[in-house]
Amino acid sequence: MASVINKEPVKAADQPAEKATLKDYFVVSADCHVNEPNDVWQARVDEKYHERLPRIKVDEDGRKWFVAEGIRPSRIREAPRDESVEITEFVKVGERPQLDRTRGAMFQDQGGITADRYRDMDYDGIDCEIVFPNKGLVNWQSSDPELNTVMCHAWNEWAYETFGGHSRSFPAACVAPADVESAVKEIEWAAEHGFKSIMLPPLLKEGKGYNLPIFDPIWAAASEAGLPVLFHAGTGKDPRSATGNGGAIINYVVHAMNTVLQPTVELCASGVFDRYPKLKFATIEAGAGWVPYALHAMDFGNFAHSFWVMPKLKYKPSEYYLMHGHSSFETDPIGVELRDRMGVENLLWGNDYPHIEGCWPHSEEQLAIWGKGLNQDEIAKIIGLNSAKLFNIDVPKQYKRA
Amino acid sequence: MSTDSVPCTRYDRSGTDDPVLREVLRDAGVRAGRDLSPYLRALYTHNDELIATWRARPDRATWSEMLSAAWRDKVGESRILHLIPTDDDYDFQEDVVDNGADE
Repeated sequence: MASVINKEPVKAADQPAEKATLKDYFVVSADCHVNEPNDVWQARVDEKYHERLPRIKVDEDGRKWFVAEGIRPSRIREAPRDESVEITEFVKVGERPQLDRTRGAMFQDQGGITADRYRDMDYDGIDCEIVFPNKGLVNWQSSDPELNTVMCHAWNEWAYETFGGHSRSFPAACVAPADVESAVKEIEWAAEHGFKSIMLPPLLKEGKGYNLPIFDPIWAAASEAGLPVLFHAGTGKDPRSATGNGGAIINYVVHAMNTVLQPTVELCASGVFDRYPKLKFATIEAGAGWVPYALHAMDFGNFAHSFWVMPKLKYKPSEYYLMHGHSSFETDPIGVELRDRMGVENLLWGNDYPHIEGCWPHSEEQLAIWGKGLNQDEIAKIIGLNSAKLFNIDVPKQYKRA
Repeated sequence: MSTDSVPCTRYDRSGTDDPVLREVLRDAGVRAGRDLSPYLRALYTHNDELIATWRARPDRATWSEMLSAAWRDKVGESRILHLIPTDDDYDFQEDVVDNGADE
């Protein structure tokens, strides 16, 4: 594993939280993203990979295309944005910034690593965040395991250079499971460098699944390192499978959100947790309403198809989820309403900053919707304490609860 | 510079030596009367689309037709993109995922 840092580190600003909202809670967003620099890979990988890295390219008509191995080329069509409105204008007068989703994102250049990131977090009431890639969401798209591994490690090096030792931002280390031996080395590297979690794609190439014992070394390494495994919606496979009428909604619901069901069932049905009882996992940005049904379906399958079920499990599949699984949502009244069927301790919350489908900068207002009927202890767990426990984040004394 | 120096990658296969793309590159060179590898950065195929990345605009203007003809001879009609890389920044979520349902 390469250990030489090729580029002068640019550290993220690190300033203590000065929250404007959600002051009664220790708030951990289990799902934030960072806009990496353009050279996040190129500055850190061998030259022989350079021409294979994701990049913007221009055709003969001057149209821009995003090209990356493993996903179909995308023509860049600038969303109509109102560039005349600066977020600072709203902050100065004490009003909330507004996103107009019918016009594309209103605010550009957000989600970086400057002090603006922490101003945005403070504005939304966020104490700490688990950081996922933005450009790096394609780390697993190529069918070449070697390129997956190289891109993941470069992203992790950049994340370490940027957030290493940070007090509020904790990136998830990207791990490429197509090469299990390299994946184990990457997990060990991540643990040595202070990462608090690892990220695997929900879907694998070549029809493989995480139920297969070939992945046991990954579970062993993650267990040994105490790093929870995170499955972020929409990674590992192009989430834009549908085109034409309804494409945006179909892709969001079917090809992004629903992808996390598969690894959840694969882990809970295959005896992985009997072999690795310390292993924890979480599904990210896929809501939680699906979980109670999936738990029921797994248990029914375990009963109705018991003759064919192998290996025989020590517990019901749903019980493995309750003991080992978590699911994050942005705003999901259905999932919260069904919380007693999946456990309040298994729910995580995230604002998906800075993505437009997230709830930034309106997390407090969204809490009023999804948190209706919950008591303060339940809200405290869902909005931060569950994540703090899963990701081993210190909770300030004033926010600790019995 | 040789044809081996240009990564020739098919979207659903590992490695950079896709035999169809290598053959197309050779055929294009025959049509052009010279090896086109010095002018190309990469050849990539996604489904039946050809994505050729050229080193410079003049190279693209001069040789892209030969490459297109060799590709059509090999696989038939399909979309061909002749591209030049830029250093333009992008937001993957907004510019690609949210913005790419139709193409």
